[in-house]
Order: sequence, then structure tokens, then C-alpha cells
Amino acid sequence: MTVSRIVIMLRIAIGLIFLVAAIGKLNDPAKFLSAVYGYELVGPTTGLLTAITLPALEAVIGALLVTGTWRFSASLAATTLAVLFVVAQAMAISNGVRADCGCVALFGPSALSQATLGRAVLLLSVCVSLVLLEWRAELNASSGRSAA
Amino acid sequence: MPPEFLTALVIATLVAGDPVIKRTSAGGSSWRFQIAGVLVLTALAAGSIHLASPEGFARNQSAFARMQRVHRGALLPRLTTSQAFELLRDRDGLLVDARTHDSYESWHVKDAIRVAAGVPQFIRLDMLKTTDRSRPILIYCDSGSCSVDQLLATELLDDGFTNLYLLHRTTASINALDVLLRQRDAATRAREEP
Repeated sequence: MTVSRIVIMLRIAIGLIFLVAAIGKLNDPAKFLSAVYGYELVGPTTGLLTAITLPALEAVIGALLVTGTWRFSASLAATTLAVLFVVAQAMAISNGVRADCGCVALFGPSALSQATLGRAVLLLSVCVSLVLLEWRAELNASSGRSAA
Repeated sequence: MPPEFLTALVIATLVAGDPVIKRTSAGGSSWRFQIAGVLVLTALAAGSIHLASPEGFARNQSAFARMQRVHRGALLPRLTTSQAFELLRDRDGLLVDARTHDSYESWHVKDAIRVAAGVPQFIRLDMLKTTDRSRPILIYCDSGSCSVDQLLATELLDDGFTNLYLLHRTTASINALDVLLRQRDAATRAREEP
């Protein structure tokens, strides 16, 4: 299997994860707002803004990754979101918060725990790998263009 | 709602991305431009979802209000040890222990009074020993998994108390506040002694 095929599979897999996560949140925005408040990291207004923009951002990133549009930027944005998930979960867990993690609907409702944090870290590491692979592909493409 | 919106989103993404794909193949495009594109698409998607969808917050403001009401205890300011100490020292704050009777009896922060959550209002108000609804009240609970501080705060909000705060929920914060209060009392006693 060539590297480019691995990159495509990784990109589509992460894109689908983001799309499924977005669908779960868009299905019930109030429940997601409740999950955001449950983290106890933001106030009412910031929580509302997060609940409005985050699912849309996930959907956009997911769609871009699955369709292969703006690949490097989409994977960079996905990594940024994954960093935010990890930081938010780590902060909430260290603060002793017990709440719904608001994670991907595929895994069902699950309380914040080391396991959900581990899942977020795994997603982050896959996103970082994808960014590095896409970056290499961008460099190769630009050096190819310069040579031409 | 989501399937239709998601389909529209994918189509919008493809339409918006198409010229960039062509530009990229013709000579490259800035990743900054693409990130800006992601943000614009996100704003468009968020706006359309929440304006057009019946479940969106623009058309379903009761859901937002309901969530704020449900979480009003958790949305109260959570103070650090030093902020809590200043509140008690400078603003005549009342320190309330929301833990169980046994936990309170075995140890509690200096000067804390115990108020139970989940009891009838008259018992709660009797335990609180204040009728001043605007007096700052700082509630603390045990570390980690305890959330009864939020429950008690919600009940006190229902009772009409307006100036409620929660202590940062770690054992270190609770212990540190106790140490600060004892040091303050020791210093006061030392000043008063001839």
C-alpha cells in the first residue's frame, strides 16, 4: 500500500469521525449546549457561542477532509480542534468535573474519564500524523511545480 | 434536519472549494486563504443551521433558556483560594459547607457553616442563619466528584439569594483556604494581645 493511499484513508476516516460528531451535536443543539456547560470551563455566552460554532466547524472540516478539498488546511484545522478537545477534557478531569463528555455520538453517551481523554489523544495523534503527511505532499507538489 | 443541512454543507464546500482546487493545480494557493475559507464556511453553516432549523437556537430560544436554567448552579463563578479569602475578608462573605453532616463533623474549613442540599426551604434558611439575600455566599464541596455545591447553589438561587460563588473544587483549594483563615485569626489575636 502506497503512502498516498494511507493518507487518503486516514483523511477520510478522520473526516467521517468529524461528520458523525457534528451530526450528533446538530441533532440536539440544546443537549450539546448542556454538555458544554457541563465542562464548567466557560460562561453562558462563550458556552452558547461554542455550542453554535463547534458543530458547524466539525461538519465543515469533516466535509473538506472527506471530499479532499483544501487538504492541508482542513487537516490543520482538524488538529487544532483535536488539541482543544484534549485540553478541555484534561482541564475538566483535573477540576474533578463529572459530566457527559459530549464526544462522538457513535460511542454513545459517556462520562468524562481517562478513557475519553485517551480517545481524544488518539484522535489528536492521528490528526498530527495526517498534517505531517499532507505537509510533505504539499512540499513535494510545490517542488514539482518549481522544477517544472 | 441534519441530513439536509449536511448535504447542503457538502455541496457548498465543493462549490466553494472548486475554484481553489483549480487554482492549486494551476500554481498553488495560500493555506491562509484556505483557513479563512474554513472559517467563512463555518460561519455560514452555523448561521444557516441556527436560523433555519427548528432546533436552532435562533428559533428555539426556550431550549437555550432551559439549559441556562438547568446549569445555573454550574455557571456561577468558581473562585480560587485567594479570591475566596478576599471575598470572606473584605465583603463579609458567608462560608457554606455543602457536604454531608458526617464529613462536616469530622473536619471543615474554619468558620464554615453547614447547609444541606435537598432539604425543605425552611430548614435550609434556618441552617443558613442569614436573611440578607444580597450577602456574598461562598459554597464549597469535597474535591473531585462532589457536585452538591452546585445543587445547593441552584436551590439558594431559587430562594432569592443573588450573590453566590463556588470554591474551586480541589482538596488543595479547600485546605489552603482553611490555612489562610486560621493565619488571619492568629494574626488578629497576636495584634490584640498586649
